Amino acid sequence: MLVFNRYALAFWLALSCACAWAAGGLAVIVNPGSGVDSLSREEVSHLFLGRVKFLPSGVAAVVIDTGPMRESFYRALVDRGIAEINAYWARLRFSGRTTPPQVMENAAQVIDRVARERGAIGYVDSALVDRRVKAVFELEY
Amino acid sequence: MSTDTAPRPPGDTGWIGSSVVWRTTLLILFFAGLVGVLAALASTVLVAREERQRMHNNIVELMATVERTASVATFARDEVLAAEVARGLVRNASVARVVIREGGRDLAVEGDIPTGTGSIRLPPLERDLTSPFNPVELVGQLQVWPAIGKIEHEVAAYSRFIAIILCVQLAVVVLAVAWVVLNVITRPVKQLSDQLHHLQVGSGEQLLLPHGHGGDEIGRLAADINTLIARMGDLLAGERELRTQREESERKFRLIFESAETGIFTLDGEGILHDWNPWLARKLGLPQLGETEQAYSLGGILGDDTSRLDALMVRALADQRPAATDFQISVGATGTLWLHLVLNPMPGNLMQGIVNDVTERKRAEASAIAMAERDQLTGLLNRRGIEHRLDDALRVMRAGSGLALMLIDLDGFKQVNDSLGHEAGDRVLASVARQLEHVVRRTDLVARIGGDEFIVVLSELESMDTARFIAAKVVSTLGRPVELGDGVVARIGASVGVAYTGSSSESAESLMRRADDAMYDAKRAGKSQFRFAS
Repeated sequence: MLVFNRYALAFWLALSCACAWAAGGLAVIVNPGSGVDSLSREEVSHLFLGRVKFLPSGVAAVVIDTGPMRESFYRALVDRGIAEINAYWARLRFSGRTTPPQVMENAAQVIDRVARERGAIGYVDSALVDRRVKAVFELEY
Repeated sequence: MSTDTAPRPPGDTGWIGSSVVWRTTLLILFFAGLVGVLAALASTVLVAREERQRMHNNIVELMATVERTASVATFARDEVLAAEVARGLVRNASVARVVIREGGRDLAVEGDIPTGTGSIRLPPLERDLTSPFNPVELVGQLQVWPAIGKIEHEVAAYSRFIAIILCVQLAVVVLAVAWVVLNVITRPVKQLSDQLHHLQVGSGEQLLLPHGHGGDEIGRLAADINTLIARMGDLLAGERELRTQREESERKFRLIFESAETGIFTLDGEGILHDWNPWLARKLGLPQLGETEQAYSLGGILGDDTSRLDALMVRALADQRPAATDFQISVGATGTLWLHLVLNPMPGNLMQGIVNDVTERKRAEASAIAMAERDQLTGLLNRRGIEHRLDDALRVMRAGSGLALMLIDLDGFKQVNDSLGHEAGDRVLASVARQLEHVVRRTDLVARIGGDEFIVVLSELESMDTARFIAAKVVSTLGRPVELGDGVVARIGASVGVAYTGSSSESAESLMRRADDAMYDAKRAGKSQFRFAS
């Protein structure tokens, strides 16, 4: 047992190191025409958790989650797991006034959408950010 | 033992009015009521505090329960969710109003500010709402107003409940106490009281012990009363016997007092009669005792001799010893009465007196004295009698008047005696006595002092001439022959010696001697003549 535990620990340590290295950072991106140059962590979390519905420039925000990155993003942003975030949204969904972010399949779709829509805001791997969008906040995990 | 024949015992103004039961019940009602009111007031305060605390805790719990959702609603600025939370809270009876505040505005407001009577103050409870994702980020506030009306209502309901419980308890206790007092104390005591009220003391009746109270205080009370009744009965019996004895002896004494052949009376220091018996009333001509209101003075009744009575009273009272003396009084037609009076001092300046009628004795005494001083044959005074009276006459002699003593010796009496016998001599002597009495004045004294010797005392004489006249008359009268009947005549004569004095200082003996000498002078001079002493 003891021998097994020690091996398991070593394995998990190695795995997390590899992940951190492989992922690097996440970037919150907006449409270049949105009038926003940068956002604070608080502004980002307010936007993604539905507290704020407009970008600082006054444009109505369209918030988009990136399916595979959700877990990492919310863990890095507010240190909550997906289950908790879902439970949070479940309460708000009951009222029907606040809707959770739209979830997209992959980063490419997110970037496309942000590039097309002026109020859209999403997050992708920092490495994938291109000219069509503007990174306004960096998040490391 | 019926209640209508006897008057009600005092204080028994009906079963309720002033009975112990009623008073006890009222007192207990009063004190228990007082305690009850105080307890209700205290419990109201305590219950209000308790209820307030309970409500506070309740609301705090409620707020904790909804805090998470409220935080979410506030964080997301979701009025609908916030209103939902607020409505949920307000549905609780303890909550009057809920306000969920986000930043500067009210996200949700439910309910009204509670209005109570003001007896209970409870400020709204507040709780800060933080972001669900960042415990240090304040996103709003939850304010809850407790439902004061509800507390008041519940406190009032609780107080009412306590009041009802207390009232029920009070009623039960009062009824129980009233029942106990009525049955354990009042009824037996009333029983005793009724019995006592109708009890005839001295008849041997006793109180019956109330059933079941043999050993307790009421039983003891009854036993003590019985002892007292018995003692009182004995006392009464003793008293009655004493009274009978006293009446008996009083009757005896009264009989003695009333039928005694002796006067019995009481006298005060002033000489006023207080009581007297019938004998005394009869003797003194007084009304019977009790028939008059008039005060009779013994001194007045006894005549002028008051100073002697006063002296007797003073002696008796001063010496505190019986004192006695004789009184001579004259009553009505019966004449003189001699009374022997004894005064006995009594306490209170009173005297008890006894009176005996000694008239007979006095009369006997007087006649004995008279007998002793009289000559049996002639009825004239004898030697002792004349000596006695001569002394008196000399003593009362007034200045300016004279007294003469005549000594008379019969001449020839021996011959009469020898020739005619003693009987004839005695008749001669009696005749001489009658003649001498006839010759002298009524106030003069005549005595026979020896065989044929007589004395005549003449008092209150203005001069010797009267004496001389009488002497001459005596000589001539006695010189006449004395008829002795059957033709027998005795011839005698008288030689008389007279001693005259004008002074009371001369003694009887000296007078007699002088008269004797003068009589012998007359004899020597030839008899049947008189001679004056020089």
